[in-house]
Parts: sequence; C-alpha cells; structure tokens
Amino acid sequence: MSTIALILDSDAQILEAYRSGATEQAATAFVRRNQRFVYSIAMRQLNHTEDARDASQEVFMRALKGLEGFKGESTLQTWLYRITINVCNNMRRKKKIVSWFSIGEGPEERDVAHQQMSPAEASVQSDFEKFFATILAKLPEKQRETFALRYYDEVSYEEISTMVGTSVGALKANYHWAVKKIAAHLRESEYYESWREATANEH
Amino acid sequence: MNTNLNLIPRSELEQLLSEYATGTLDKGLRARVEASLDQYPDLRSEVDAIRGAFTLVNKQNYNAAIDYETRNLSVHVINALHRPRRSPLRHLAWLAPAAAAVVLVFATIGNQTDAIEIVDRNATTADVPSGMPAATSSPTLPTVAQTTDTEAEDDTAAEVRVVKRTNRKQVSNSLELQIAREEMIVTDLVSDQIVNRMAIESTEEVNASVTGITDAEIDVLLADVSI
Repeated sequence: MSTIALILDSDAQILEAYRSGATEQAATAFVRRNQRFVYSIAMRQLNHTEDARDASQEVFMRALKGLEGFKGESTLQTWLYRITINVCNNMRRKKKIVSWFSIGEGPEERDVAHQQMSPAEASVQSDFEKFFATILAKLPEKQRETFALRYYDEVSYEEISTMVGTSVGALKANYHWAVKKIAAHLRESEYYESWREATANEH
Repeated sequence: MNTNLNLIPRSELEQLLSEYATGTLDKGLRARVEASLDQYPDLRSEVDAIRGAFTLVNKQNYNAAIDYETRNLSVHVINALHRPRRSPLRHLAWLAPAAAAVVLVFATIGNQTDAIEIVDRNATTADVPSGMPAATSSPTLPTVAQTTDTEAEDDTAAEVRVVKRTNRKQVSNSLELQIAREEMIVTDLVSDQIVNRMAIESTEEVNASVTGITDAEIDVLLADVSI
C-alpha cells in the first residue's frame, strides 16, 4: 500500500487513482502530500496542537468525500485551504458553544489547557520557536498568513491570491512588511546577540 | 555580464528586498536583484540585516515539528472514514429534556399563580356555583382585572379597594350566592360577619393584601382578628 502511495506524487495521479477505485491508496497519498500544508494552516488558525490535529483530520475526511466530485476549477491546494479555513472557523464556533454550556470549563480553564504542552510538544518546540511564535502572533493576520504561506508553504503569490482573495500586489506588500517586522523583532532579541557573538568568534 | 537594461530601479528593488533576503524570490529575478544591489550599498546592508536575522529561523525545524505532529494522520483519516460518525451536537443532547422540563414548570406555575385585582368596593365574596361564567366576562359582575404584576394597581381610583390573591377567585356582587365551589372575595364592609371573615382570610394567606382601606377600618379588622 505504501509503495503505491509513494508512486502517486502529483495531484493529477492521486485524482486519477481515486476515481479509478484505488481509493485507500489515493487517500493515503493525498493526505501525506498535503498534511504539512493543512496542519500548518490549522495550527495558525487554532493555535493549539490537538485542535489542529483534529481539524486536519476533519479537513481530509471532508476533502476525500468530495474528491471524486472535484472539478479542478482551482488547484487541490486552494481547495484544501478553503476547506481548512471553514473547518477551523466551525471548530472555533463549536468550542465557544460547548464551553458556554459546559460547567467547570470556563475560558480560564481552557486558557490553562492551551498553555500546557505535552512532553513531545515541549521537546519539539524549542525556546526560540516559542519566541518566534510570539513574533508571528504580533503581526496583522493578513501579513502573518501571507508570510507563512509564502515562506513556509512556498505557495506562489498567484495561488495565495486565489486562496485568500487578495491581489498579488497587496500580498507582496504584506510579505515585505511582515519580513521587515520579523527581522526587526529578531534583531532586538537575545538570540540575535548570541548568534552575532558566535559568528564573530568563528571569524 | 549585466547590462543597465537588466538592472532594477531602486523603488522596485526595495519591494523585492524581503523576498530576496528570505530566499523566496524566483531564480530569474534573484540574479537581477543581485546585480542591481551593487549600485545601492544601503539596500545591500538592509538585505544583510534581514538575512542575519532570518538565519535564526530554521525552516527545517519548523517542517520537522509539523511532520512529527502529523506522522500518523493518514492512518487516522483512513480509520475515521471507515468508522460511523457520531453527531457533532451530542454534547447538547441534554438540552431537549431540559427544555421540556422548563416548559412544563412554566405551564404549571402559569396555571397556579394568576393574581386577581378587584376594583369594585361593593364586590361580595362567595363561592361560585358550578356553571357560572367567568367573572371577567360577565356583565353582571363587578370589574375584575387579572394580573400577575402586583405593581399594576390603579392609583387614581382612591375609593377603589383592591384585593390581590394568589389563588384563582371568582367575584359576584350578589350576597345571596353561597359557598359552593370556589372561594370569593368580599369588599362590601357592611356586615360584621363578612368583615370578620375577610380579616381572617387575610391573615391566613401570605400573599393576600388589602389596600384602599382607611386606617380606622384596618384597626377594626385587626381588633376583630385579635378577639
């Protein structure tokens, strides 16, 4: 199964395999190909690892149910982006309703839970990454999303424009300002000083 | 060899600096930016500053962390697809019986707590014989107002005596009507017997009140009760 999944390395091949009946293999390839992209969006939207995992699973389940009817009017990535945003919005709404009805699970308890990390999470996320996450959180949402899609997910401006409905020019400006602000924050940090000292010692 | 035609004007170059410094610019433009930067040392130092700061940002670590978090996602998705789904509203399943209970409680209270205002000082109290029409709809009966709001008294009618009760009452101005089915309210203070009875009733029920009576009349009532 995994061998077949590895062979399906393009959207077109995955769609073809899915429509020809190799649904499980195509689904596996589809998830593996897009899981990093979907999870990183969910993580930015929900800011919680477990919620992001649940959201990613929901996104792929919805996508796979609709994959056979996918018309290709947009790319699979754009389609997945829209599903992910919808799922995350729904999840946030449901959480608000459930927490409102739940006794003993007020916003305070939820905030504490958000701050707690599993040992695995703690080992993966270094101090710098936490610091960097706070820098990203300070950016306006459009700048943050544009930066993440362009820098981490390496999506083209044209594709991002289709996803978020903003012009390419505006996206370029968003990216430019996001990078300048991030760089400014980084230069003011102790991490940058340490890095400069280490670099100077090397020379 | 770069020619001047390939060089990018400063204003355009400034917009491309961030992409160039973070390595997201496509190859064709990258070479042109590189060549153009030689003309603008200040922009070159800006690029170096951004690059230096972004050296700290490790894209590989970021991707490795995501890969770790999503390592079993495809298995979970395939398993979930084969599993029957539970309703997303299952957390709210208790709402239907709770709502039914609330409706039931309000319906019950609504039937038991109708208050009555009697706005005729000559109204008499007696039980209504079976088959008698409702007080509010009978033209032969004194004016009766039903309300659950005890503040809704008519302050302008100084002579009006208002009796509020928590139990459902029927009213008649005929002294000949006898106790048959329901209790009646008397506001005609002519007969001592009737006054006594009214005073006793007023002490028996916590929610009952008699207003619009003069102080002298109240003294009489209280004196009768103490006796």
